Amino acid sequence: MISGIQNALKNAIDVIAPPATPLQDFTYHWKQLMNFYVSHLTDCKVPVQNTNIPRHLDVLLEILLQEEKEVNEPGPCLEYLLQHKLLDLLATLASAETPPGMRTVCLVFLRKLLGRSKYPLLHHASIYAPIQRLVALCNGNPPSPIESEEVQFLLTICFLVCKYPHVTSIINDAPIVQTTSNSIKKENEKTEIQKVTYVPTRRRNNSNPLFEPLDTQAVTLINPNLFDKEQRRLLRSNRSFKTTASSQGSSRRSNESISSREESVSSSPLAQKSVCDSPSIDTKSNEQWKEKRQEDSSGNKIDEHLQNLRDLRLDTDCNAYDDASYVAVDNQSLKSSPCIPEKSKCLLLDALMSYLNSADNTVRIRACEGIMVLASLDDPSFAQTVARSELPSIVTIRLENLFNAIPAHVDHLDIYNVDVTWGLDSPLWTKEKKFPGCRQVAAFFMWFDYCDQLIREAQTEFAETLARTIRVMFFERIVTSALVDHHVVLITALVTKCLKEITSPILCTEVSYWLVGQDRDPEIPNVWTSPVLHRLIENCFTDSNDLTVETLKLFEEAIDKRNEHILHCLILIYLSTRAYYDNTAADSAIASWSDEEDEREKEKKGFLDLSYEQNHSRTLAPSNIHRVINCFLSLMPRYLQTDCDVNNYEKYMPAWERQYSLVLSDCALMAWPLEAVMVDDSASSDSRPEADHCSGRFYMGPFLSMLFDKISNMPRQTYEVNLEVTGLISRLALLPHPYLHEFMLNPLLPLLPGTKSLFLCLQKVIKQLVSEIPKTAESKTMLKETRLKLLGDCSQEEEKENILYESAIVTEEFCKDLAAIAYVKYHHSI
Amino acid sequence: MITIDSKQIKLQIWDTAGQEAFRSITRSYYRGAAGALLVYDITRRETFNHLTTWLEDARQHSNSNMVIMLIGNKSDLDSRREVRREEGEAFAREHGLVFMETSAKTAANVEEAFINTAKEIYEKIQEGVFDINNEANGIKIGPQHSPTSPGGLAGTGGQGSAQGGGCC
Ligand SMILES: Nc1nc2c(ncn2[C@@H]2O[C@H](COP(=O)(O)OP(=O)(O)OP(=O)(O)O)[C@@H](O)[C@H]2O)c(=O)[nH]1
Ligand SMILES: [Mg+2]
Repeated sequence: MISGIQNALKNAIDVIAPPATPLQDFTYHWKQLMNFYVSHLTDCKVPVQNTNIPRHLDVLLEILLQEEKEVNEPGPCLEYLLQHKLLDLLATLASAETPPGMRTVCLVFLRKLLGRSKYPLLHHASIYAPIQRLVALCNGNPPSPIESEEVQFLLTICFLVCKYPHVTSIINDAPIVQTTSNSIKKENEKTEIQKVTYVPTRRRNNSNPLFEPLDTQAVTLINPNLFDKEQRRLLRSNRSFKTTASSQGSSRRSNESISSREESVSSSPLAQKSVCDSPSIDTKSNEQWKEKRQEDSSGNKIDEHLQNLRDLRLDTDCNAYDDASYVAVDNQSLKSSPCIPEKSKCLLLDALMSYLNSADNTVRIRACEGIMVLASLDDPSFAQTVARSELPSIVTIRLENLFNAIPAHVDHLDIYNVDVTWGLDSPLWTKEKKFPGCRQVAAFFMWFDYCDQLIREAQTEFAETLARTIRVMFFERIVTSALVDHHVVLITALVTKCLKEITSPILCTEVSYWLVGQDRDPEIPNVWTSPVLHRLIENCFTDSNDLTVETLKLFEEAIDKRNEHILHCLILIYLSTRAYYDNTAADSAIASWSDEEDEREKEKKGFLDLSYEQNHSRTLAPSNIHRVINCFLSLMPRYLQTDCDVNNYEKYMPAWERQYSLVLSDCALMAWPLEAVMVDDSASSDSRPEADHCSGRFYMGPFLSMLFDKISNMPRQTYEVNLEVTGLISRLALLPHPYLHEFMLNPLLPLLPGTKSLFLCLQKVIKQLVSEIPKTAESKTMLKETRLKLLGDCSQEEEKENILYESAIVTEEFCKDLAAIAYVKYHHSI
Repeated sequence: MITIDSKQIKLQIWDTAGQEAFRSITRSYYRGAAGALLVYDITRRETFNHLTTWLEDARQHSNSNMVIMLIGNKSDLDSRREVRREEGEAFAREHGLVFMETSAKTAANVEEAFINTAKEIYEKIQEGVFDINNEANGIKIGPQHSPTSPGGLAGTGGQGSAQGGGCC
């Protein structure tokens, strides 16, 4: 109906005023648009869709884009748009929402114009100024009814910033007053930050980057001289503003009640400018209209009206921001942000951040996209701005809130199947009820995935800041304490899943700091320095079978990260001095000629490591490999074996073979030594870990101690625990580290008296099995049945489980596994 | 929602930006997708020349079984064509992609492009190439005995957007 009327109107208008040139057409439609305000001076309550405004804007856009197509240089319409600050007026109308819905219409217009124009328009003062005002208007906190249009608009600006990187400085708007009002805090932070993130290219720290393009860029689209005067004036007025602003700022430094956002808007040079300067510009442009179109006494009226609107805008803005900062504090269920977010130096980033907690998935994801793009921009000073913004804590607070929203009754076994990514919606997990609490778990992991990907894609400084914030604010503050909660099993499973999902090395490093501490020195027996590791190890010794299994799985995932720091702190630091090796016994007790020869070979290679091109490790490929394998295979006495073929360990080899190739490439960069050799005591005694000195004994560290305790306890543990422990040890044994290798896989190694080793533990286990499983035909049948139950396919018999028999089966298979691993590693190293 | 083999299939389609600088996002999206449509503009050779890098990116960051469809768009503008149909076909053959020319303006082949992609994915599921229980590949089975198997698709434009007009 209405569009029909509009069409009729348009036709009527076309008849009255047939357009001659595009410019005339353009100015005509602009004037028609403005006429609305003249004729609705007092009453602007008509919804914009019922007015001609959208149609006029569409035509304006069409003319502009058509002009671009036809001529290769900027045409008169674009020039008119720039010169007469049309966008400034539009921005003002959008701010005032006059008529209602005007903001949406303006955002769409600008999005299309900027997105489709082939020119990088953004660096023009008459474009970026209104754009900045509109960006500042976009705020998803509290939720805005037009948030999806707002976020699309913001994304278009991101798009332009990427396309024309030199415009980053424009979005990099630093309100000076804010800097000074926060200066006390900044002073303190500064040295701290400089220590961690010193960037030599840091420059122009205190100058307002907003004005960089005006100084440094001669790129002017139309007429290079067109804005020169204007720019210089602007520059001058802003310089003087800067000084007054900073003195003002210092005088009200104590006035904490003023929200920084309000300040940044009301005192931003641009807002100021638009209030003080534009009337004259408007008059000027009106005069030009008069010249061109020989009419229009209404110009002054429009002007006056716009001025009113402007005043209105400032009022509504202030109110809006006041509201915003209050509502931000008690916003919906996911809140709890302890502090009112501070403003960064980037309006665009601030605006995008405000949508991160939007209830609308698409809006949030679009905001995420924009932020990811900004964070990955290759511009050192902008990267720094992002790193110092509130972004890291906003992202982390959301992670924390989503984590806390996971119901405690979620079954930990359901966690592992959840598979989501941040961008693609996964209706299966987010909409359907796969298991109770599924939606919350999915929401958490979607966000965790975003964090991980953001850290991966972002510039290093921000990536490191975010990763550190996640460690400190999320892992250390929230997760650590939850590891003693009553639902610790679930928490452990969630952490394991997090570890599994991490792909970003930077995040992995931070999480490794949380897990094993930052200190790389060995721990002293019974003195715990890393609280999380301590807690996890204790959790392995509780009565809860589930907790033990889940915690071992967590360790397994940690080992699988192939993170140098984790492996170092958990295991390698304790072994790399070879303190377990019995030097005195070595000379006399080396059991065979080949062992001795191996030792000598290793010494030679160990010290010539660098000059030697070859990387075949004697340690991993001892010449007595068959004896080693025999040790493992003959551990289990014949009568306890249920597998008729002793050589059946070979069936495990293909799987380990595959895994070992992966492990080798994963560990290639670890710079591990090639051979296990004695460290020359006299030369390096200073640097040797104290742990060795204080007891004079070898300490394998809390982690290996725990594992060996668990191995020794196999006859008393459930099948699930035993599977986890043996699996974990197999994974460790597979690592191509010479000390770890010989300690785990060489039963012939002379050890200091009293040293536990994997082999000795297994011997103990088997001794116990032998003494407890009667040597009867009956128990042999039992063993065989258990084997079928555990390894066979026909598993449905609900027999009473027998821990002892099950342990015997696991032990038998574990020995074969170790033999297979030893052989695979040997084979790879010869 | 489309129907293949009388089975309802729900497609979840994401449009990602073809901007160089938006690659970080595109990379992120590949990870969960079962299929991707790689679109170039037959009236602009540079979009065709860029395909190799897009393809590399897609292959590198996605599940190795992701179905990739090559689309030459704007077939309505045959007069301004810069990339011959045969070139598109050859590229597709060389890289094991399915190829089609479409026009978003006249809607020619558009529906078919999505249906063919879905079919390809569906066939891979039937062959058991996708592990449906492993959700890492963007395929979700519906609640009952899999009457629906929606797949995630990431559409990717290599067209650039610095053009006037607007038909979409
Ligand atoms: N004639 C014609 N024009 C088309 C066709 N498809 C798209 N266009 C036009 O091409 C321009 C760019 O289209 P978009 O859909 O924005 O391109 P895109 O690949 O999504 O671009 P990005 O999002 O930047 O990757 C628009 O002006 C469309 O109107 C088509 O089939 N025929
Ligand atoms: Mg697009």
